[in-house]
Amino acid sequence: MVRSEFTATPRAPQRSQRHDRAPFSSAREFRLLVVILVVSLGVVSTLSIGIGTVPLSPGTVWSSVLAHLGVPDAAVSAAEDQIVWTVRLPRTLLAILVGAALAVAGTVIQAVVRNPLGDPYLIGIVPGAGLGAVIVIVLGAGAVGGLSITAAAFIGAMAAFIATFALGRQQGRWPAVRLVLAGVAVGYLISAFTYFLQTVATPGQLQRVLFWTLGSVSGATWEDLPILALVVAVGMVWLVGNGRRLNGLAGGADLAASLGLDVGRFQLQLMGLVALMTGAVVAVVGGIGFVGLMIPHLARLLVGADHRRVLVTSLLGGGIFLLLADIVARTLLPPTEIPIGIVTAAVGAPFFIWLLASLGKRESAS
Amino acid sequence: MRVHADQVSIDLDGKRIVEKASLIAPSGAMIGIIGPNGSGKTTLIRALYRALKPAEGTVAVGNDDIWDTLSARGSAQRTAVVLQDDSPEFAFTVRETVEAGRVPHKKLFERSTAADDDIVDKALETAGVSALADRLLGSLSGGERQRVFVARALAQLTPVMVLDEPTNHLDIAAQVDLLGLLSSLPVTVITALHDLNLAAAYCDELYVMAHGRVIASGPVVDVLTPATIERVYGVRAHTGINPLTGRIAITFGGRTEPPSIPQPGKQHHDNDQNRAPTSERFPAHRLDRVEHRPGRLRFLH
Repeated sequence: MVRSEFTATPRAPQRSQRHDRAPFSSAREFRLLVVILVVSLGVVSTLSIGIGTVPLSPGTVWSSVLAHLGVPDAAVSAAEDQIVWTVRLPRTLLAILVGAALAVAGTVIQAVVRNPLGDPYLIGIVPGAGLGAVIVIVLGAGAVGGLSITAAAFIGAMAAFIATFALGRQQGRWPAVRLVLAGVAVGYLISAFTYFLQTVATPGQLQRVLFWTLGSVSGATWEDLPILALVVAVGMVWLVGNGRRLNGLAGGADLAASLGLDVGRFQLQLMGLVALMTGAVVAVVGGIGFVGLMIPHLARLLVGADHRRVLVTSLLGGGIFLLLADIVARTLLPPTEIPIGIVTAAVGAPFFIWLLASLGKRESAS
Repeated sequence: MRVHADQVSIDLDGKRIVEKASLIAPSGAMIGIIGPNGSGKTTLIRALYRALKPAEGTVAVGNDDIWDTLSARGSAQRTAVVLQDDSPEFAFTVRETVEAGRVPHKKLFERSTAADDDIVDKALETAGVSALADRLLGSLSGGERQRVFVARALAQLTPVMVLDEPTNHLDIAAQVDLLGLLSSLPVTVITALHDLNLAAAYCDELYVMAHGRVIASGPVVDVLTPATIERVYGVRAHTGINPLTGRIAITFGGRTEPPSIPQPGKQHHDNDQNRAPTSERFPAHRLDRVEHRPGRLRFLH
């Protein structure tokens, strides 16, 4: 066969065996990172529970927590126990859950829309929740059949998500650009209603709208936690199980189809789950920006692009980040608490500027 | 494994793109699909791996219809794909990219095993990209990247591989490397190609598409005739034997008809007048176009 003569030996790779893997991308490095993050989460949680108008030592914090878990310990006073168990622990757990949920949601949205700017704001979920909340705040619960702010915000989030997905659909799938455009369009339309309601609101209502828009975990109670924890845990397990397929989807719809994925169904499952997770979270704490945008990028810098690692890293990193942001939010201007969304934006925007600068450097280097 | 597309018609946005195209790729053969831009090559190829469902006709891989008999996963276990440009937006390494080829063999929650790692190693080695395993996909040259995508297809361990113009944007050495690699594989290869000489050098059979139809098919020598090339591309062609390969080599002359862009300063002609005689020399057309350039420049000023 003449063909063999034409088959030259492949050229040896011209560059030497360099690697540009992320620092924690091998299995061992990744396990180390997970340990580091879990320990950090424990440390920051202890800090978060200890810090406040009545400072508590880590020993007191853990004694109180352990006492409630069935380990008897007499060293904690009833007042201290009260502070830990009914105020600061639920708040800390809520912050972790919210940060984790938003960061994981951002990771998935970025993969599905194949866009580094993907986050729960981009596909209409947060604006939708905002409209629901603002309707109740400005027009009263009576306008929506007696719903609470939380319920109205959740319904708003789901409605906006459904509208975005109905508009973004094309031939049974959701092409990335179309989905982004649909999300932006739905978001702006919803914002028009939200802003209109604000123009007819009283100053007191406006203040509440502002605080909702910027988010806060200060209202945390034990009642909020189980359902949120369940949604995040179930969602996370399913997502990590699908991490490999998410990698396939990141290569585009046609590639995903060639890898045996039912692209439309997979996209719908992913985004439905993400909408549920963020809708539930945002309904409880309001709009908190930048977590869903920033943490996934940070995670990828640490562990590379493989979603099986990025999801876990985002989960832990998001929890730690939002917990830190909450500590700053309640200690910066005591006794006033500033909304947590201000802190996340103040940290998030400079991070993006740094990311842009370092990306520019990397590109000119290669 | 044999691939048989039978009388396939495909619609996109309500418009018929491919009309009753049939293709048979015998097991282990390397089949080329050639034709001008917009002739339906990519669309036909997308129907071979379940990215597009044909409006009419059937596609069978082995003895099974890919839509009626096989699941999406079942089809992906038989046919692997190298697309024109499917670089993900994210910073995947070469190894991670190739690992995606294992997706159709894994159930939900199923972890990678040592066997998967071996398959990925072997795929990297066969495609000649082992040394690049820890590099980021985005830092590679176009030729290296295409070989990585071939490695991913190899890691899928399929008896059929489908490629859409894999040699686009590659230098000649990378083109020769890539097609040499493909033709050395024991799998059935179906690839769209632009370069007719490469198609002639490497493919066992060619399918020629124009306006959504397969208008010629068969062994290279039967298909790549000056008459067919002129008919499909509107370009004069001469075929001979490439002394280095013993395969058909094609050289090209001018167009057999004037360019379809409207020529300024000329009145409407009906089609027959517009079609210049085949014997007309190429320079005449160029002169014709150059003459009218000043007029266009004046218009712009």
